[in-house]
Amino acid sequence: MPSVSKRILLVSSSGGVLLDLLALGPWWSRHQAVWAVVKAADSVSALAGQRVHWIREASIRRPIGLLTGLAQAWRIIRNERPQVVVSAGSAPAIAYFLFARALGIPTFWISTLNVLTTPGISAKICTRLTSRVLLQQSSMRDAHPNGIVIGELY
Amino acid sequence: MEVLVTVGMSAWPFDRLIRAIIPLCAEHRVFAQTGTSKVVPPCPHAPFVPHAELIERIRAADVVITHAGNTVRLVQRAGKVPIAVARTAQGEMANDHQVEYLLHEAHGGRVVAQWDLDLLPQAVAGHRAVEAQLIAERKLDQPAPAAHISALLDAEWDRLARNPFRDHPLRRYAYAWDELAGESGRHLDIGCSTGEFIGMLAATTPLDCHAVDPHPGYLRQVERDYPQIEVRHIATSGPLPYPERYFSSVSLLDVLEHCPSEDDLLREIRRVLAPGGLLVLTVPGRHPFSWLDPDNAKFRHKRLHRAIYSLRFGRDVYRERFIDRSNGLFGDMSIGKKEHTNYRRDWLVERLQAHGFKVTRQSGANLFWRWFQIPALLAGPRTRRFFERAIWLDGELFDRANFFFSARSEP
Repeated sequence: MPSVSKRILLVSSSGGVLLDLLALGPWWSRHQAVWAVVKAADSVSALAGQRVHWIREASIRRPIGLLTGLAQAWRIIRNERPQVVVSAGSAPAIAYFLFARALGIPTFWISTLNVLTTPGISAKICTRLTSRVLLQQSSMRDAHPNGIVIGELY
Repeated sequence: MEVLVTVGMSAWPFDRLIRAIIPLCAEHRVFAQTGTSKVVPPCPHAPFVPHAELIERIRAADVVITHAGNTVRLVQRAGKVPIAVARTAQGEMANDHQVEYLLHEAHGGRVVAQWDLDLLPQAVAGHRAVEAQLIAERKLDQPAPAAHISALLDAEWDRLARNPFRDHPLRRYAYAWDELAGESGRHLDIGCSTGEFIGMLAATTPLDCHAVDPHPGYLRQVERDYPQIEVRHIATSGPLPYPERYFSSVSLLDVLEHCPSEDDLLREIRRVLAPGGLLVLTVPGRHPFSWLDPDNAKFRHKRLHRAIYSLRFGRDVYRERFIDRSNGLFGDMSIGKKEHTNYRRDWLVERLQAHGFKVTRQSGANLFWRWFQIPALLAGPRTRRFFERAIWLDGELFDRANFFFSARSEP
């Protein structure tokens, strides 16, 4: 198993999808982790002591917000030069997965715990762009036939 | 009782739940995390609470009422049974996945699904007994071991980073390598051409690599450049020169469209593949720019093709490839083949299934690449590199013009 430390960029909204990434702590804590996360009460407290870029909330229903997030995503990716980008959601991750794809950076998309069969719009976009789809629920295999079932993270 | 109410961090207000807890405030010690709701409950409350504080409050509460988000599992992991209320797509969140999740979780999991909020006070009053019963009767699956998850993520990243074709303009090679890197045993590459793929596969994986092609010149080149690969000449049609079930995997990368009969070749591949063996197949797909396929120029614009090909590679090479047909080939096409086929995805899936394959993965690449491919074929080395980069980027962003399949031979 590789022991080389990787530069990992973890992208997340606040709430449940952040819990998925926090549960990966035993993995990302062995590497050089940097976060791009929507600022909220839970994310500020949960990521105390971590290197964090606070990013704007975005929604697929507000395309203007998605566009303004593109510039911030580009700047963070160019500055941090991650070797892998990881996210479980949601809309703010789209810009990061788009640039990662265009730059040839591997990405992992994690299907969040409580989505059982039908992914949301952001998930559909990100899973089209990602290198690997990791599923917590085997019921998501129909939506993501190429997904890897990893089991529940927490 | 100590009652914790939490509606998560969503930007969508969950007014229905916050209104429903108002009667509880007179009877219990309630703390409510209210989110973006403008409803003010008559109890201590805060719009959001930090993660660590939420965990502490979950542990301290006698009853936790939560929206049917990931908090349900946090409460269960704390050894409790939550009363969960699903947000709906009617202004409480973007879709109904909480409803779906709660229906599923309530079927066999440690949760009380509260659909009728008028009955919430009764549910809280009787919760201790229900909670004890559900904990006794229903098990809670453990999360996947952290070490297992870490090893899997490292292994997947390693495979992605080690892919020697990750920057290759033609994404089919990266796809095929990714599929085959985890395999072992004998591998056959049909239509190996100059050996670009099979040579790298042999050098970077433990596979015992074999290659076949109908073009003698290609085979000589592979033998010279990759002496560790066993090569054999094959005719453009007919049986493969191997016994049944000889290979554990086969690759057929943009070759099927050159062959006289797809069915005959798939039947032969099935014969030489061991049960459960892997076939990696890539083909050009039918898409809006299929009409630009330069491999069809030799059929549709013969004079123009001869002029450009002779200019690019020389008249002798043109004569050898397109006039001398002793090897059964017209260029790289089987004699008798009238077009470089661009396939429909569902037709190929159907043919694979008809020949006893189970498709395990589908992918694709490109949309606009034909616009770059033609100038890349004609350009000098520096300009070609620019067009190849454009083809690579097009392959990263789109999946309409080339189809990739992985299929297992059914036992």
